[in-house]
Amino acid sequence: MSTAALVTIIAAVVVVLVLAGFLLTIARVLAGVNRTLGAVVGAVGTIASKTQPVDSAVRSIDGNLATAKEGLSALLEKKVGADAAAQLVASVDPLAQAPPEEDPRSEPFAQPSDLDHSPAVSRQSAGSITLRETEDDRFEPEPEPEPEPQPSYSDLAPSPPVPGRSAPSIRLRDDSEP
Amino acid sequence: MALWWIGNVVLLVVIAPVVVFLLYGVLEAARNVRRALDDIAEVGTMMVADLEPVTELVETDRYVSKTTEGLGRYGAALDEIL
Repeated sequence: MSTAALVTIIAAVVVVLVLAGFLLTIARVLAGVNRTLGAVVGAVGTIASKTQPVDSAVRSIDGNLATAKEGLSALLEKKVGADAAAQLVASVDPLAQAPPEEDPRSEPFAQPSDLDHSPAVSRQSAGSITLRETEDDRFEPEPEPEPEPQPSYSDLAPSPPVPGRSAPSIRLRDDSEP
Repeated sequence: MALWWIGNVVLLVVIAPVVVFLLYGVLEAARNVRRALDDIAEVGTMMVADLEPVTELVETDRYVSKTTEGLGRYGAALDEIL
């Protein structure tokens, strides 16, 4: 056997051994990936089963609360009238007195043309992707305003009744009146 | 014979390093996938722990239902009183 043939055989054996070593390592890593994926699938299934009653429970709670609100509103309107009921609700409900906030759901969705597409990241693996930071993204904390002195509860005195205010002046209707 | 030696040199100097380079890239990608999956599994486990109180929603629903029934009775009583 010539020397060249011997070198060829040795080189082929070396290449095959290197291939086998790498492939075995990759197979071991992929087996670990398979195991972790099994755990992830199990966790996702648990999450799905745990969140399954949320929809029906929240709808039921919403329906019950709406029924209670309608019943109490109907009772109030029946006793004091619709206008006085609205006044009374507005006088005790701070949310009813506040100006209506804009519904964030009415905001138009960003159009695909408005979105800033990131440039393609080449030759980067999943573990090495970094978030881009723009000038607008930097967080600079604003100085906190000094808190105003709060009066203690012992300093508070009940305000004198004001004649003509809504809540005390509501007169209950008598259903027996003609 | 000279061509044979040239082939041997090409095999050892070119082909073997290219094979090693390509296999190393595949190995690194698989390791990165495994690291990302480990992170996902960790977050999933934390999410499962965070969702423990969700099952209490059924109990909350039952309490709200009872409260609504009580409010109905209370309203009916108020209707009679006032």
